[in-house]
Amino acid sequence: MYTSVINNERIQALKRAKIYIPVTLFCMLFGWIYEKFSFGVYSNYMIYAFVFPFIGGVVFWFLIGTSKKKISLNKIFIKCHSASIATFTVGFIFKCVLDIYGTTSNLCNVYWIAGIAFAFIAVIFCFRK
Amino acid sequence: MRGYWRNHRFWIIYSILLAAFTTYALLDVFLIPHRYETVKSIKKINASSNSSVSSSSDNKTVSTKYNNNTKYNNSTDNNEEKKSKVDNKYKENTENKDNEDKDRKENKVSLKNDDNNANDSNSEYDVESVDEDSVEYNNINESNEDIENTDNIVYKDDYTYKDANIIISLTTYRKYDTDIYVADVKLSSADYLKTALAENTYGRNIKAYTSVIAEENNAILAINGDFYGAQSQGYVIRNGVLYRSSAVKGNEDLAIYDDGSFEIIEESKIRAEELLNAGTQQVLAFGPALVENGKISVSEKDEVGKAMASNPRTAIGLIDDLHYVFVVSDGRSSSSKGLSLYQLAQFMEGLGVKTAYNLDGGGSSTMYFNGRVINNPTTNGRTIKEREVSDIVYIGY
Repeated sequence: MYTSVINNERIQALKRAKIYIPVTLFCMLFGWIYEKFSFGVYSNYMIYAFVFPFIGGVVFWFLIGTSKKKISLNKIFIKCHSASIATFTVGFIFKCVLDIYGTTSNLCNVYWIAGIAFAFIAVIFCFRK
Repeated sequence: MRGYWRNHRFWIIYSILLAAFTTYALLDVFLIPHRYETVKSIKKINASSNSSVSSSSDNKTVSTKYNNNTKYNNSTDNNEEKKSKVDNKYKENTENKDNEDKDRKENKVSLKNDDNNANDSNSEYDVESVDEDSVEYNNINESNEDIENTDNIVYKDDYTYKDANIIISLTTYRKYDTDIYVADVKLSSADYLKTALAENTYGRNIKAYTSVIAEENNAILAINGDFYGAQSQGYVIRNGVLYRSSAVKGNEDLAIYDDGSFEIIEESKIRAEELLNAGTQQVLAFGPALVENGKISVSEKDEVGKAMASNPRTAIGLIDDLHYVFVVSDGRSSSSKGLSLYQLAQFMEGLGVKTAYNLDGGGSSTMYFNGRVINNPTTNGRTIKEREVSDIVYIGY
């Protein structure tokens, strides 16, 4: 019984890791295509947009899924962690579009604030049962 | 179905919110026009006394260092006669203005040597909020009267414009696998070097084609400006009116004074109000400075933002008192590669400029002269089409 619960959590974690793989690839592809058509203009936000789904998603859930220790994560943590990654990723892509066009917007701050807020909540609920 | 909703409702709701906000943000940045209800306008009380005019005594022409590919139209005898009449009238005007303004020029406020004056700057302004429609852009009729009074004879063809106050000659160069268009401008007064905003309105996402803004303002020659509307900060001073005074650290601007002289300034080192007090008519905030004191001021590594490739470019340079060059290059096409910032700086130096400044480039780069667009503006390299911009720099009455 105990073993099957651990296995189930591991399977779920690896499943989540797999979900983030196409997201990571999409971000890489988006940056590559955008750079191709931007006449040499590039943005660091574009280059590093894939980092959030890759590190926060693929790597993180892969480590959880392959860990030998039992790591039980709170549902709120899982939701806020994912929301934080999504918010930062979209924020980075939005910022890269603005950068390449050569403009700025205060609306970018909304992404950073929301992303940090979700990350903060996720940390608070990290090890709560 | 109900089970799916229960398990995924957080994600469904959050995805919708994120998508909706991003759509709104993109529309806000690129499409929704923001006409500012009131414009912060600081007008100098003694504006007329500061409007000094310097001479154009040295008729230095654009250096012939480069191969000139432009063929001028064959002029008829009548045209030659007309040209010489215009030349004489222009010389008369510049000589008269020269004598009138020598005293004024001596009184020109020097920014660098007048810190005390800058500190007391507020006392010299009449600060007021005005409706944007009434701001400063309606002096064309008055100027037209001047033309009639001075019996202004105009000569113009595809490459030349000459009257009693303005001489413009257009030349096309082929350099760095790129067509570069150079308008050599000589004025009898700095009053004819102006800027204009799209729809005569200050705001974000208020845009129009360079040629449309030029036609609306009866411009003889026009180039795109600094696209101030793409930024939410940075100085905006146009035709002696301060629109935006928020400084950006690291911004290197071009200040054009009321005597027509240029100076490269840093926003972090001087307030916009001080610039206005010193007689600044225009502040163009794009950059960087290409040439300062006759020397190239960019390195091969310098670029605009993260633009590391050759691109269409727009620049403005000062050769001598009231003697300017407006430069636009093609790019992003099979016939024209475009210029790097350093190549543009080298080219400007070759023209003999003392000061040169880079303006908005890429798809925005457009030169308008005598009623037509001269260059091949393109954003994607496939379609030759103007891009809408926030503002222009132009020569006109």
